[in-house]
Amino acid sequence: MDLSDYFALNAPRPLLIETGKQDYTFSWRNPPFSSDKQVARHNLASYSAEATQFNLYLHYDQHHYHVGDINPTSATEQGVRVPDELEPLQPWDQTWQVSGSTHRIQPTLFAAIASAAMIPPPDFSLAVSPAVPTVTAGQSTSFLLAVTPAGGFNDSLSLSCTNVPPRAACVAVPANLQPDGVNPTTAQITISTTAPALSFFDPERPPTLIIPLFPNAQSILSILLAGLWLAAGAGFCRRRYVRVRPGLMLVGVCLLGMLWVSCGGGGTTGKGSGKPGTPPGTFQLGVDVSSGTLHHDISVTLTVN
Amino acid sequence: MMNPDDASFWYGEAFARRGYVVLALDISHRPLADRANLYADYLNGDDPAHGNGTHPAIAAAGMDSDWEEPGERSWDTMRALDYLLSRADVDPGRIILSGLSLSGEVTADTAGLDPRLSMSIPAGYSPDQSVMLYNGSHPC
Repeated sequence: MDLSDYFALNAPRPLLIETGKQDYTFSWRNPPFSSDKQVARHNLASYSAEATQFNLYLHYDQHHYHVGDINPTSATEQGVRVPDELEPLQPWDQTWQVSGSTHRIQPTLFAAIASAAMIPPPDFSLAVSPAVPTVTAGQSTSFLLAVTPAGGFNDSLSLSCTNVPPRAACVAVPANLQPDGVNPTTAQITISTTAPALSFFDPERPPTLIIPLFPNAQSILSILLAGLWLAAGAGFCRRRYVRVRPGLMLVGVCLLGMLWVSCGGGGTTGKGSGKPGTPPGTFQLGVDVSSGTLHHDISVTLTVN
Repeated sequence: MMNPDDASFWYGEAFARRGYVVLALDISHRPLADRANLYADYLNGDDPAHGNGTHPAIAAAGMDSDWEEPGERSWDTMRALDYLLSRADVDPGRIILSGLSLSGEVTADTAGLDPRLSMSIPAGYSPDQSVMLYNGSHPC
């Protein structure tokens, strides 16, 4: 059975031929073998319509196995390469392996495997539990973020939160994860919210001496009206109802206060006085997990009561 | 193969470090006397220090086959595949067979015979079969 038969029997399963740029193990024989690359080229036809499943990967070394990113004899490999052309440079050249000019097609053998076999490259997936955390404003809640590596993913990951509700904080512990390539690893995400606090002054609008007391013309008019009411009451009382004068003045003061507040004296924004907390509602909190150029995020529906 | 200092050890380890389940086979070799003719022009002859010594095939004692060596090695490799498929931590749809040199030959032979393999990566091996036949099988 010839290699063509083997290769044809392999189709349409992906086949990846790895060979050194020059490999004397076979070519020193007499008669010499054709180079691996030439044989591979001839057998592309065996794959017929599945020829794209047939991959020839070339490294710079000889009769060795290369993966592209790990080398027992040197710190860094040059990457798995393919020849730019498969013809021998000279007809008498018994090395006749390749032109020598190559280009890098995949950084590693594993990337080539992923590409040829459509095996997912190293990656990770995210999951949270519980999926819909709930919290009362002023309290905190936590959920677990699970990172599951795939394809041996073991790069360091950094975690961050996005779309955090107003006046809430999000902390991930730990802030960085180091997957082992196989097993899921987890981080605890804690959302701390703030409760609204009653206060005479709105901390977002510090009072000044004059302006907050007379925020608009309507307030000024109301105060003038209240003053007239007081003046009229005082005059009326001076003439005939002296005993009820203190009571009328008190009513006037109360009216003054009520009008001032109702006309915007307590604030013009409509928020009312006091320190606002995390607003109630449903928020799509995001957890961003990234490593270099690889990045995933997951959305968590956070309910604030 | 199982010696970390051996050149044939590290690439299995490289796959394992990427999350693959790796089964490294110590492939069978017949007694040197049975294949002495293969070493006529092979200066180093047998090389037990690198696994190139006599290893029996996966077979019960007295059940040696009378097959050609490549067939016997492919049969052994397919039995190793049986074992891998019996494991819960192995994805049966993503099994790769790979090997360098003689193991590249075993890879090509076995991948042609066993459709349970998803992908094969022969390394340092895809020579002319006619020249291979002229010189005798792989000298390793």
